Amino acid sequence: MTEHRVDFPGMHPDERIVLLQRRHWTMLGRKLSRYLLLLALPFIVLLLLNWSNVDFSVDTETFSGVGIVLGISVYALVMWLLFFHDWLDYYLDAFIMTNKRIVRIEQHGLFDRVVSDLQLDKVQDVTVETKGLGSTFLRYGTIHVQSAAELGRFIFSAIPNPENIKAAILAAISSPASQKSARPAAEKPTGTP
Amino acid sequence: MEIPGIILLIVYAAIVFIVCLFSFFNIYHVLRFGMHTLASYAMSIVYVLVVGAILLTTWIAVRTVDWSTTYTINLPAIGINPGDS
Repeated sequence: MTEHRVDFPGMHPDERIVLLQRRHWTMLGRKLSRYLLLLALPFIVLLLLNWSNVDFSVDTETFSGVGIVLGISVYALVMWLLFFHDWLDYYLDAFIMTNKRIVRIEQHGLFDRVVSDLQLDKVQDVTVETKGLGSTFLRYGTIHVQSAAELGRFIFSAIPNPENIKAAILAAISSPASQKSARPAAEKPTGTP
Repeated sequence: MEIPGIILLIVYAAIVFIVCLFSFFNIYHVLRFGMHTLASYAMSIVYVLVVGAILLTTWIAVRTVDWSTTYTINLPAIGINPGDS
């Protein structure tokens, strides 16, 4: 298994990332292609006007000319901002497995972030769900990690190669290192008599 | 109806300020919550460069505009006859 030389906010000093996965690229592509198309729209309109021999020129001496220039500028800025925002939303969502735990980071827009983690020794069951034509052919799906705690299921959707991820989780929870690191925590006294 | 040209500039500046504010929030999220990788830095730099290019192109296009000019806009007349029911 490859180890990643990056770290994530909240990573413990004695931890190392053994698996880092973002959502399938089609999730990003679907959003970004929409903004790229909208970003190119004014230029497509200008090209069509040129091809159709319409006498069109923007005269910045007139109110409408200045309005068109500033309007296109605002449109381009807003589309580019939305494009970057969607990339950020994709980029900050991550499924991380370290040598100690599984971390799921979900960014729901700005200032709304959910970080959940699950100790490897608490994992009871891993389920992979591949539903639909796209996910079957492009090999992505939803992974459900069932924990022993009352937290319930740990779900991460549109993850690429979910079968490999499942195999990696199962290998990690059955590895002697994981069981050894889990044992002292499990045997630690609670402190109350 | 007469509109001073400076109004367009003020509205534009207000929108640019809001875009810059949200750009700052986004870049803050990349640096604060993202992983410190080449991809995150490269994307942030590309984003700032494109914003700069859009603003520069706009400035080049409107730099000769005299913002003190007052534009006269003829809106279509809307007549309401109070006698109609």
